[in-house]
Amino acid sequence: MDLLRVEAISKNFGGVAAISNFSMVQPYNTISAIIGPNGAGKTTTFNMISGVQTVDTGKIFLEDVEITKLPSHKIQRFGVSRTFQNIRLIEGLSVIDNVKLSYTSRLTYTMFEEFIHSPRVRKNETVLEDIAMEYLEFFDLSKYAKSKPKSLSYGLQRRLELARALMNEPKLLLLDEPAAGLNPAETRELMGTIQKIQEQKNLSIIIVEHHMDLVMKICSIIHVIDFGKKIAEGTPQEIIKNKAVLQAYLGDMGGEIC
Amino acid sequence: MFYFFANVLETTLMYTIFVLSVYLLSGLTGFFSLGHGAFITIGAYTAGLATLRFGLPIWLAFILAIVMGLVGGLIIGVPTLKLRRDYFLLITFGFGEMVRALLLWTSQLTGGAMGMAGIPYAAELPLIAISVVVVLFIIANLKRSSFGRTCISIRDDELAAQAMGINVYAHKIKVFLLSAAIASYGGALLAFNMTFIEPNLFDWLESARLIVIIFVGGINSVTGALVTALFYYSFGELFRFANVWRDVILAVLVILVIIFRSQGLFGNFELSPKWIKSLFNRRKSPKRGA
Repeated sequence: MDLLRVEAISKNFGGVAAISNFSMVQPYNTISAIIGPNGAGKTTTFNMISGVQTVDTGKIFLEDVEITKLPSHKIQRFGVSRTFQNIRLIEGLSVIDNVKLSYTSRLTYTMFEEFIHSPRVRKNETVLEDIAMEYLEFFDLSKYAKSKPKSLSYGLQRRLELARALMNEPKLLLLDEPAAGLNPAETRELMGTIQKIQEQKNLSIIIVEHHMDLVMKICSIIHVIDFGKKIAEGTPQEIIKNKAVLQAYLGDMGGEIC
Repeated sequence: MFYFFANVLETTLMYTIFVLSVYLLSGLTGFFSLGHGAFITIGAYTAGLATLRFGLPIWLAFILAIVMGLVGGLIIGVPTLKLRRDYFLLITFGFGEMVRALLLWTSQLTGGAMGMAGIPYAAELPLIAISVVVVLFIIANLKRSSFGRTCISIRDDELAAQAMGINVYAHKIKVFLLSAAIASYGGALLAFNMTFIEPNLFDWLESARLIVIIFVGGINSVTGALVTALFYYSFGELFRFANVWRDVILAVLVILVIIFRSQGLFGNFELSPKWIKSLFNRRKSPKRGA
């Protein structure tokens, strides 16, 4: 049994095929990547897996349970977390409250208990505070716990989004261009962080990315999309040598890498 | 003189309940309803009808008012809360006017434009004051736990909230129903306090005013909503001769707040026991901060 199985999903936007017949399999405990030129349909694929956009045709299974038609909040509860290409933190909440947010569906108290702030609510909130703090410490963010996300630097905001995505202990983590807007040093740090997460939390990660060195170094499987179609799949070594990929995606850069 | 001040206080506190009910919907969750007055009217008329026309006891009238508010909230909330905020605003505006027209139309039951007089005087100052405290307590508790965090996340970014495992639609309905229930309870209080109600009790301007007060006070602060409401409504009642001026003052305040302090007068400030304690500590040992 594989963690995630995507079977021939397609999505059209008014006659333009954003992605057609895309299939992939994601085993447990691996990091894989989806790469492709701008507009190839990578983010659309992500949105369909995480339920943000509906699937036109095809099916998606998580541990052999079909999640194709589920809304995104249910998919998150099944254990699929994601980050966004353009960071989407909640500005009105403090850093720690942002992290707490993705744990909401696991809290056991009801609205009526919240009315009177019952002992059960208090207990739950204390435990939640501790867990959230753990995650902030893991990402070295604990000293910013009470400040607003806007006051953090771009790199720190990225880390906070990662912390938030991990808070609900996902089985599958979807990272949408995690290195976008980061400088080379930050990117290197991020690569380390992603590997550390994968090893410590025993989860599977899919990355959509443009930074080739990041993808080549930490991913074990790479899926290449171009114009909404999958053109190659394999290990980084295989992808580098793949002619179709070199032509379609790497172009001139192909020579540089090889 | 005492009665005059008691009266001012009663009216102010009742309006404060309305402001608090709107705070939940507009301040925390970011949904603007121009028809919130409709829930207040529904509550008031349910209470009036229950006691005058059906001779029901007062406590039952209160419960019925809340139930009717919830029913109204369901009818309007379920189909519209999936829409974008601007459409929601328009539909609630229509709903408010619809309720007003309905009350005028069913004049045999409701007295139409003549209003409904002779409702028993049952809501005195203690009951109203306790109600405000209870509503305040509930809203403050909701704000500091998961419910409030969810509200704020929906206000700021629905898509992100959904991706964090939050059922946005269900939560919006919860908030709307709660807000409607509080408003209609306040409406029932209003009916039992004023003993006379009419369909134009609460038009859309009045609903809009509730939202404006929340923005002046600060959308992140219950304290802000409370203090601004107390100030605004008691000012209007105390200085009847200057009644027109309070809207002028509010308008100027709105402009100033928008330009100089977009997070509202109170920003993120909340009056809490902790804060009061820290105030005393600071006085006792001024070197603590250094």
